[in-house]
Amino acid sequence: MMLAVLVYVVFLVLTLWFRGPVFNGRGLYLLRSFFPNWRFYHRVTHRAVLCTRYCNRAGEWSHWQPGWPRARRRLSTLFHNPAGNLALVEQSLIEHLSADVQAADDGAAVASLPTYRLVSRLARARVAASCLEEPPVAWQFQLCLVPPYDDGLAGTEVLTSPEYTS
Amino acid sequence: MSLSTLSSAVRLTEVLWALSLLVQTAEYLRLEAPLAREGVWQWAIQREELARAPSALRALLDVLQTERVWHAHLLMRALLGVCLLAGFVHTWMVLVLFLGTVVILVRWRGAFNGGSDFMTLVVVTGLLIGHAATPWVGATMAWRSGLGYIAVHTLTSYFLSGVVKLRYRGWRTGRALTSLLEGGLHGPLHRSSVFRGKRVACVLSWVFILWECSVPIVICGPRWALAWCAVAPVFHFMVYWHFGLNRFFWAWCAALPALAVAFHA
Repeated sequence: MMLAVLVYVVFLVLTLWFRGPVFNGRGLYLLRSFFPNWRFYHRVTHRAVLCTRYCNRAGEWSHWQPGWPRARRRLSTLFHNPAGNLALVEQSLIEHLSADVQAADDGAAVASLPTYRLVSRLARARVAASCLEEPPVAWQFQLCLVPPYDDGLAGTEVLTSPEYTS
Repeated sequence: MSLSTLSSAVRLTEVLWALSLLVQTAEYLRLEAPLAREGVWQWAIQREELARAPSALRALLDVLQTERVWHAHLLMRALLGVCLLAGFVHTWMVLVLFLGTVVILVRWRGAFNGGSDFMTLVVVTGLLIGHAATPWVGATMAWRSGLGYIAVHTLTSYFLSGVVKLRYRGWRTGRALTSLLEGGLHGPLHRSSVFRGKRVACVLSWVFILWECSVPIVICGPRWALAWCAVAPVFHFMVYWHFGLNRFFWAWCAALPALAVAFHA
């Protein structure tokens, strides 16, 4: 048994250098939990950030508001953390759209992607939550990539949506 | 591995997985609004990702994703979780929980919380192997297989996660840890946070890496395995506390009894 496990561990190490073919596909993506890769946080890369802005009745646009996944630290969240986990799954969706945009050959086709449409709804929900007193007349979102380390480098815009009317 | 050790590990796995299931289900019940028709995660959009799936499967998923059925499904999972916790388990129950887990993951576009979903699925698959195979090959062989499946995945999860960090300079210097905490759920770091210190970040990163890479010692003997698995919840609690990943804590705790006993037949 010990020998078998050691051989397996050596095999795991070798897989880091010798990678097999990469399989893509929407169906496989939805079933990716059956093929876990277990490489958590192995690289710190640019972070995708969803920024939103809105236009009030006077026709003035707000500043771009970045939306980071944030939650308060409380011990009770060990047992019940819906808000924190929702923030994390929303961030995963934003990062998926960022990957889709960078992989897309045709920029115009991006708007028809499910990821774009879901992020669009997320942006609208964030705008609605940020202006409860006066509903906006229009809103817009932008996807930016922020460098991983605080090196004084500016974020890069990868996508700006059209202006949507409320 | 004596039968009593094996059966204790199976029971503990069932109890811990049931707790994990109940934590997850309570959260899903609170997150029904984002999945509703007016919510962000509208099924009508998501189902386009299943365009190539068989029409019967799409029709089945359409029914399962309706708000009433979804709610009833979550309540049923909670009930089955309580049964599992109480020791009232049948193979069909575990099969229903396994299939339900897959349906929920599809609803959240493949994963709700990444690694914790992977491990949740691994443990319920191991339980399913044990329960389903018992009538065919006997309890001992069936549970050795079921727990072995969980243990191999768990060992892989720690080891790969550690070795890939070892290869990355940002982790070796500690810079990656600071950056991840900065952008994490509880970020940004306070100006005076100890994690901003290069030496502290570097030492903690190496503790992180060496801990994960050290998992093969569980094969050295039952005492080594028990000692390693006893420390693991502390590690996962620290990950939860600093990164907000509560589901990881429960999902990996459910896998630890298998890791503790499976390699010592």
